[in-house]
Amino acid sequence: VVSRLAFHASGATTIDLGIPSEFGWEAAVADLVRSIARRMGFAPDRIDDMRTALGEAVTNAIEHGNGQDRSKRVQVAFIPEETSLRILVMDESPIPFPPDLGERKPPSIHDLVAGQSPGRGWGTYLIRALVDEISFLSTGRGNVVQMVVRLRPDVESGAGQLRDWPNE
Amino acid sequence: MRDLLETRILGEPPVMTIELRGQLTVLAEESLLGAYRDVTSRGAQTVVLEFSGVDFMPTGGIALVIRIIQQTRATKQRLFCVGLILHYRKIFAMMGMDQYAPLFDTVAEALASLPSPA
Repeated sequence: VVSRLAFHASGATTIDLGIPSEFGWEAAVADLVRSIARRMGFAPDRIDDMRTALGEAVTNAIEHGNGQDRSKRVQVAFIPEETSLRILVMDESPIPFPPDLGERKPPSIHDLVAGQSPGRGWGTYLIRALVDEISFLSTGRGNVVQMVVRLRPDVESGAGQLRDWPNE
Repeated sequence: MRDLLETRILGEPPVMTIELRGQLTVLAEESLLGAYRDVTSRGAQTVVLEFSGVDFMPTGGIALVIRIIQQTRATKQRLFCVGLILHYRKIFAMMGMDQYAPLFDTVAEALASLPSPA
């Protein structure tokens, strides 16, 4: 899957890794992206954005994609490009992403505090807010989240500029 | 995987601080909630969560903070969050966390916001 999706990166070095579907590895992957991004010259605040977005994507793959089944792997590919870093996160779920995944609104803090929401949804919302491009792809053998973070953030898209969310 | 959050309790009742260091992830449930139970059992009426040593906090970790918000509301304790780096401060504000747990740069600023004793 990685090689088929990495067509964007012709000539670029791709860093691939596979992790067990176990909580805690999302933090290790976030540490790795910090190291890669520093070497590429990303600003510290963009590295924070990337670590959070990637951590959420890997957490979703571990929990929702692979059901915390340690026999299943989460594959992560980092593709440094001239002006951006492309990151792919892949699970092994045969169940496709919900079609509205990229459009969902997160739960309100009031519902969360009142215990009236299971708390789902903030991770995907944060990913959308923090990266310059995001796409979701279901292959039948797994689901892929593809994120692109540019060295200079896309001001028009507002990426990297966390927007206020109406919580009234 | 091992929980990589360290907690340290500072202060005396009625104001107690839980200093956090490391990674606040879903794995930190016992560390964080255990520290909260500890300060509560010792009589804390105001609980300060000090985040300046937190290096990584995905939404699974933030969900643990929301559980502390729920519990402090039930027990009528005050809760402050201090020392968040700008990135997490923006995320807390975006989620609306600051409506339930005011954010301050330092413990001293949080304590200065407390009403003076009559």
